[in-house]
Amino acid sequence: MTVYFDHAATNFIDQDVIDFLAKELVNNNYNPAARYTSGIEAAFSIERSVSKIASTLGAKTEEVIITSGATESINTALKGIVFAPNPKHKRILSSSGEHPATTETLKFIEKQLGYTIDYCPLNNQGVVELNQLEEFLIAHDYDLLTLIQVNNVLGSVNPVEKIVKLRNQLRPNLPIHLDAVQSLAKIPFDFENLGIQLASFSLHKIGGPKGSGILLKSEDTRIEPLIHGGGQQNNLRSGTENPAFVATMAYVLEKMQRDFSRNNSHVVELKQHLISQLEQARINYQIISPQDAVPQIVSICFPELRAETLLNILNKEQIEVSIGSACSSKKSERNQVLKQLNLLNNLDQYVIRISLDKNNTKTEINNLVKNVKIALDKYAV
Amino acid sequence: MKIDYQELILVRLGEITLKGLNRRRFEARLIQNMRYRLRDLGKFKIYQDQSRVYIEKRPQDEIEFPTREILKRIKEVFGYTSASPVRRFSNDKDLLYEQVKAYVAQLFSDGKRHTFKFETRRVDKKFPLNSYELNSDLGALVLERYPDQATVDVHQPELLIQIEIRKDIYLYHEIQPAYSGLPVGTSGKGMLLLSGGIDSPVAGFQMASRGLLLESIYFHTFPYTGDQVKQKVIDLATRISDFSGKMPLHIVDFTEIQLELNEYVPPEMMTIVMRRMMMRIADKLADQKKINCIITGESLGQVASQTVDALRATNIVVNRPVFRPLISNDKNDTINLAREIGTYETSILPYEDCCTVFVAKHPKINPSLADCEFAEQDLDIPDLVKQGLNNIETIII
Repeated sequence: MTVYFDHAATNFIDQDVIDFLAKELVNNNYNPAARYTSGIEAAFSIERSVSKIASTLGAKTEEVIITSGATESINTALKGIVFAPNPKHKRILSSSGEHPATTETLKFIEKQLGYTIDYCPLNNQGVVELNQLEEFLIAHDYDLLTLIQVNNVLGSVNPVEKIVKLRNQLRPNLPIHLDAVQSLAKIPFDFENLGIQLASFSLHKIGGPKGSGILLKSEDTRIEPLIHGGGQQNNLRSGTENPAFVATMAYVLEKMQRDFSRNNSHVVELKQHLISQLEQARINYQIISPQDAVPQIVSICFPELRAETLLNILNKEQIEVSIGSACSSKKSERNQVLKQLNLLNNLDQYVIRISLDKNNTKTEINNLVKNVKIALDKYAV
Repeated sequence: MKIDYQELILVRLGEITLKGLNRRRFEARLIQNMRYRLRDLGKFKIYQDQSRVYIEKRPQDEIEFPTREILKRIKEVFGYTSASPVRRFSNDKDLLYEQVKAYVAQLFSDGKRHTFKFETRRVDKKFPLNSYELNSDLGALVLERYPDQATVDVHQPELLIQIEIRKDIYLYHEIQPAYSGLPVGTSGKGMLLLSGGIDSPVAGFQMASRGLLLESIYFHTFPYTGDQVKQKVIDLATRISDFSGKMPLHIVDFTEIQLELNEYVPPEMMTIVMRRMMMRIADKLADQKKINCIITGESLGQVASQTVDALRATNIVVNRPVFRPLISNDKNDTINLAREIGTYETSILPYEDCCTVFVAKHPKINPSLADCEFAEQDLDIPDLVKQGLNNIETIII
């Protein structure tokens, strides 16, 4: 029996979602571009599903683009702005807490297109320091500001509302793109209210199938499509649309919305239980995630045992967690976000990430803590 | 005239032809090893004649002779210098000419220009033409048939077409060089200390090429090193066994011993004491298996534990010779060889085999024997060795 604490990486798919998807794949599998009745019905199905999706995200139907995942959404947003036929400052502002889907794309844009990328550093709470961001915005005119909303390593939440206010004040024409991959099901998300221009999501983080993603794009934002072809989705993302998947995405999002409060309370309880268990077991630990991080993501440092070693032990006990930095002398293996927290003595190599969700139980937490204790007692050097 | 020939592989023996009375034993072993290496392709007629070995289809087999597959596999067998795919047919002058025409047609079928030369060895003196006559006659024939493609080069021809006239006639041009060395099993057995690094697999390969049968030993420290490292070592052992034959891999559970060392040994002496413990266990295991030498991938000066003093300190705890074939190697040479024998890519996979947790920042690089004895004074060495030997998982690769 495996115990799964890596929900930030991906989620299990609930049986009702699988049943829903299976049925859709049988009954709703036509090409929505076809001219005969079945095709037209498929197209209507997509429209209905997209409308539902938009509604759960606080966006308009026209603002939703269906993609193959968050990495594609992020690529589309960033490259889309860069290649759009708009006047350019050739400068992009981001942070140093981003996911590789963002950082690698920015590196590409920098190298191949000669852009300057500014990275606003994180403070010790794992979020961008507003003062520093302000300085960047005052100093330069940018083509795009791209930021992660909920950090996947720490669970820290960037102050998006305040950042949007700053943008409105200082650079009202600057489009903002949000990597909201870890936001769904953890914090409420409303596209219109936030006042941002682009947002990327991935459904497999909330119990949908891998290979389904969303890019929200406000109507007045112009992007060059990443993927050219048959002109589907208003030419913004060519490729045969998948009525069964899109319907399932709507189903998953509506389910998430319905159960939002209940699931969050459950996870808050679990996190508290985890901490109390660690205390009770008198384990030497330090929570690296800031106080106001989402409860679902808990980065913990166990200073007595390397993360990789602990991972090996937990893995043998079929307890699945993730680690921040691999135990390696190679610089590239060290997690960039953790490095910025300036943990003493290479402690970033002692950090494991536990990500909780509605399916975890207190018993599982007890099992985890028990095994951590055994591991520390036996193998701590 | 029917152009019928038999395909076979001709294997040339080198060093082992010098072994005098032992020659029979070496040749027999070489043939046995070849048979083993070719076992997945089927059974073949393999025999020795003078200073050559021949690989042929058995008379009862209908299948096509898998020339290329055989050549590929025997490349990994030690004990001969080169091999050639050969066409053999009856000793008849007219047949020879027809065979050569057909053979050469194949060589020039690509439409490109090639330089060539014939080289004939006439062992059967009754053959109507002598070597010189044959070479020129056949050369002229080729020039006539392929005027736009063929040119003669008597010094470094691209195609050196060889003809041997014996009881039968042998026709070939390709020579596939081998690693040479001695057939595995003719020099006894060795215990290889295998890690997941680049060096030890290469050391294993080198010693197997001198005819040593190998058994290997690997020290696993779970959970400080994960199971991926163990798998990496198994993969490396599997590759080495392609050259060295069936090889037992002894996986020693070293964790408890490591923790014991960590408790009693000063940190800067940890590396050297660890190595001494590993050597002791390997030595005792070799003793049990009646293996009289140990092999390591050590190279002088490469890491802290490989200074002369350190090597002396690790050498002194064993009771048999330690072969270090890479001792004077430049790292680049070792890497190149690792690439060639197909172990490099596996070795560089990022799973560390010696957890850096236990290695001091500043290990003592020139430990004297007294230093070692002092560092080990609180350890019950015979007990630790026994512990190591009692916790071995053996896999036959």
